[in-house]
Amino acid sequence: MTMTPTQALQAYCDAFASGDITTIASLFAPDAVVDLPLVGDRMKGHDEVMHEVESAVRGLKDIRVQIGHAIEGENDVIAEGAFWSELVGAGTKVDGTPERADFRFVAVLEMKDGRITRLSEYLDTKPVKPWERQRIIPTSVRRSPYWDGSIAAGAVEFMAYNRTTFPMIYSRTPYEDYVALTQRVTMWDVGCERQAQIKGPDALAFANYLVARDISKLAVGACRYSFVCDPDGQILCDPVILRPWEDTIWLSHGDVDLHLWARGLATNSGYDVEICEPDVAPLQIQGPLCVEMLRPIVDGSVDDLKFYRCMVTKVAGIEAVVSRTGWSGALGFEIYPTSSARAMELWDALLEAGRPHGLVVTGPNVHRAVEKNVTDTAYFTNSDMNPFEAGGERLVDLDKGDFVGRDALLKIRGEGAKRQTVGLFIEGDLPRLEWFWPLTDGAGKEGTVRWAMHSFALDRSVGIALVDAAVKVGDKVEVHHPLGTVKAEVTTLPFVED
Amino acid sequence: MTPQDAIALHNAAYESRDAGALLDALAPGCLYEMPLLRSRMVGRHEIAEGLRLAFAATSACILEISRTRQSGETALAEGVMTAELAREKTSATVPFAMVVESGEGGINRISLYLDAKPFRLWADGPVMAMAG
Repeated sequence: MTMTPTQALQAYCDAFASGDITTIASLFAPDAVVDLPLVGDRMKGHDEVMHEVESAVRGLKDIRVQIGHAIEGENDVIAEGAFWSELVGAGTKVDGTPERADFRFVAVLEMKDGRITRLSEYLDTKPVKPWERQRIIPTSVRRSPYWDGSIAAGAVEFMAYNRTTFPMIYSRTPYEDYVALTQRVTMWDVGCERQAQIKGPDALAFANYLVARDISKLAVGACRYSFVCDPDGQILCDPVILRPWEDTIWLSHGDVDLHLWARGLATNSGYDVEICEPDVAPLQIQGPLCVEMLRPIVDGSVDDLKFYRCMVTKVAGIEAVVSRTGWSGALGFEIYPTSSARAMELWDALLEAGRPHGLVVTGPNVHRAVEKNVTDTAYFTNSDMNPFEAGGERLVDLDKGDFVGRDALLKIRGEGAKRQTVGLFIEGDLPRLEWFWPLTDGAGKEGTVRWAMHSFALDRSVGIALVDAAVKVGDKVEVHHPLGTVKAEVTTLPFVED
Repeated sequence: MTPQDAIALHNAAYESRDAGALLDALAPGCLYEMPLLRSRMVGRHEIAEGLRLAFAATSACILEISRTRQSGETALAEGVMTAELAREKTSATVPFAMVVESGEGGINRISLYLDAKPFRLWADGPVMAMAG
């Protein structure tokens, strides 16, 4: 039996609320168009509509839709209604209440031959996406050179990272960002990701003295991931090391004053090096379509750039180093313009290049990172930890000769690490992790949950914790987060392999 | 007055920048919802103040209706609002829908549905609520 427009609208709303994608797909005509202010541009065609619908349905839960006034024409209906839902994976507010997407709307639905050909919703997204940009405490935090681009793209929450603004959250549901990263391509403003530049005849030798891994044979155009430790063997940061030029090493590092540390160590050391933090503010292009996106605007072949290799090139005519690295644990590139003078020109060119591939400007996707056990180590994030406790033994070469922290790390290895990094399956929904959560294992020993997120791949809460070395996979522990104490089970890392 | 008449009266008020006739047609407790204005307005006094702000923020404002459906005392419509913004000297085109309810006492409710998010309060953007 052919549905009336009102029946079709009701069927759409019911199916949306119950997550019945199959029914929704059956309602739309092949050439249907949908206007939804929460998504942006008009969606054209069945595939595009269903891609967005699926993303919306998976990103929300406890959905209710109620149609009030509905007035029908011959082949259309205009209706007023209300929508209630809870965001998946957004954590809760400080008081424990969930992040919600509730709004009233007017929907206009047109039909032809029993299928929906047009669905337009009118609503004010301002209360639904209320996270207007928060004020940044001025002067102590410098703006990334891509600030204007991030703001225009809807950045609403920032970290102060290396004393630089770091846009983390944009006005979308977490799942929309996750889909963009895992299925299309994303661009991140990581201008906060600073380079400690070591330049001079002894650049490689001095860098090798700074880091725990043997990089003495690092070739020009190669990259490595390693730890920088203090003399006690504690991790200062875990930089990506690049050698873009013969006499230049960049340690692309996390939230730590690495160039000051390096400069201090180099002073009167006898190494012939100059150390600075150059005006190099990177962007990350991450996601499966990144090669297609970058191919037309990068001089040289991004197809041939192997994992953990870099090249000096031009991107949209702008001098840059491009490396096949990133924080997504999957295919991606980092672009390091050699100056910020043309930063927004580069940003705009990348936006334009990404448009045909559905590029979305996002922050680093912590949901995906935790799934893949891609973390970040700095003064405070994961502080008070040595590489063996961090699960990074393969990144330490104790036989390479002298380096900062070697004696301490030799002792730690000899005695055995007292703690270990493990995965956790955590019960229930989680608040946002704003600082480490205490953990108690079955033997009553304390640990800390250092990362915690909703995993969209596993559809459950997961975490990464530092626990006693005696804890085993399958052990039950208790996590004490701001909303209470919940049970968790110890598991292996990463949570997701591919 | 039918709800469709009320829609026409509302839109004519914006076009002529004269809210007099519209205000006269409102029921005493009429609810007016316009996302570009700061809050829900109830009653002639609050609505008059809201419209004053709207008119001050724009040098011209046309609400064109493309489709209306009416049943009893309720009408729903969709259209496009084009506003010339007084302070920014720019124009804005915003798709909108509206719901109007009328009764014996006059117009009981006018609710406009449009996306106000592009008009960010903090961005010195074109926001009617900032006028006045």
